[in-house]
Amino acid sequence: MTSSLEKQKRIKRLNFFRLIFFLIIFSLLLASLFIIKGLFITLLLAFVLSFVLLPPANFLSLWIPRAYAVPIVFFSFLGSLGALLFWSLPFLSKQFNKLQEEFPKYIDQISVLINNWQDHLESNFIFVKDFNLSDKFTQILSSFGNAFLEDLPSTLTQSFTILLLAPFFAFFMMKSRLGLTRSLYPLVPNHVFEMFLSLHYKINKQIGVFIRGRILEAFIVGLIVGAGLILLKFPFAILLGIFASLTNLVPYIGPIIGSIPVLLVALAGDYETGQILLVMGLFFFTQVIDSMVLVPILLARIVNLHPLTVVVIIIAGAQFMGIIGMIISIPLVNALKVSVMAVYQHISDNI
Amino acid sequence: MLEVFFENFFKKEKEGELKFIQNCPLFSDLTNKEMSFLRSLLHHRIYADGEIVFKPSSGTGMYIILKGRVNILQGQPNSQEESSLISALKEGHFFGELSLVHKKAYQSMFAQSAGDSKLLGFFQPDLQLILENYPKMGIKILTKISEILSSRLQKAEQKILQAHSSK
Repeated sequence: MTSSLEKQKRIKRLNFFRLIFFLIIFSLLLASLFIIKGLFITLLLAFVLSFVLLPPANFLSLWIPRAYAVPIVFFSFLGSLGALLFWSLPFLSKQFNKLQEEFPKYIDQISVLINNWQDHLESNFIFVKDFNLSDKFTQILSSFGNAFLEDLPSTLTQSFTILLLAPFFAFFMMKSRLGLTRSLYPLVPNHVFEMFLSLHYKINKQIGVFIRGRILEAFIVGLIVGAGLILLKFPFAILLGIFASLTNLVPYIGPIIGSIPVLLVALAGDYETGQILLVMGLFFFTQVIDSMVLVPILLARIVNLHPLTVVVIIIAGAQFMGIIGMIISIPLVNALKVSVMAVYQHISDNI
Repeated sequence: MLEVFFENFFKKEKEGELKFIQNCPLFSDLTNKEMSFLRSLLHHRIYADGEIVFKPSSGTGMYIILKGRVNILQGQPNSQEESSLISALKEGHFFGELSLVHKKAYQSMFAQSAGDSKLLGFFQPDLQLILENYPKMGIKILTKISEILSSRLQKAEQKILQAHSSK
């Protein structure tokens, strides 16, 4: 009996050390994500890419060997994306340059508008006299607009290596079906292995649903906005559609930010009130479609964050990583919440 | 010389492993292609002498014994009460197959490694993955599990009938 007790103690010690060892390796890997510059975003992009391309690859591998299915899906996607970029880049950059040129003009026109408005205000309320609304507004707007318009190209060129490396990572993630994390399995101690496996699977699945849903949602929103603006014969339609689809990834605040440049162009240009109302109606319509149709269908089972939490997270994201941080912080926190909920549910189910 | 030795050594082990998997009734209907996919999903686990493989009502999968022995016991692991041995399994045997479909399939049993052992694990998430990606293959495995279930039910019914008739 004592020998069996000894044995149990030895096993307990062994498992404890294995767990500590595993946790150290795991946290080292996690830390390397943040220490090696750019690795985090590269991996994130690769992750998103692999999650989007995995279902078609799995579908194709019903008929042909997986060793062929993955490269076929992967390279046909990259090829068509490249072709699309090659075909549309001159056009897009022309639109972008034009917008960059005309942006100060728009701001001037807006400030005239605000001046008129302030005159009207001042004649009615005396206390706003010392407060130059137009100057303040122009300052904020032009600094934000310039920061965005000037930062974006340089951010894009800076992230060239990231953009180049991400598909490389994604390819290997897709090849090993359960992702690269599977190579960690042998290190997981026996007494938590089954739990680890189910958790890994659950989290993987939920994040997959989340990422695919979000991307499809953004794509459809961009499509509606772009197509609507083209129909309304609005300038920069495609560019503004892309912008709206990107900002739509940020909940609550995103759609508002996405509509600001459109409203600016609309207010500054020579448009009739009816046309401006139509453009505003388009954005409203898009948001209704988004929240009534797309979100319930695509993301119904995914937890939503409280609006206040969203604002705090976006501010934090902007602080750490600028514009990219604003876009990725919410999906990231949402993924984290999904993971934590899966862990919590698993543990509470098994007690 | 040494390399050849190692190659043969591992080849022999791999061949033995394949035999064990093929002998398991759950996988007896699989084609060669499906078998090679299944093998890419299986987990090699090493257990120390006396280590618990699964606790009562917490297993999520089955194990095939590649090396060593495993005891299936009734009771609670590490408790004061003596647990009684239900069966002693050895190389090539498998256990825990009902956990693949029902988490609390084994409510009062646990598995303990007797001596150092090497097991091959196949778990619920792996079965789920097969069902989602290769439904045909998944159905073959599920059908086999139902066959095992129904034969056990039959045996249990017979026992009940015997008990009734002996009264």
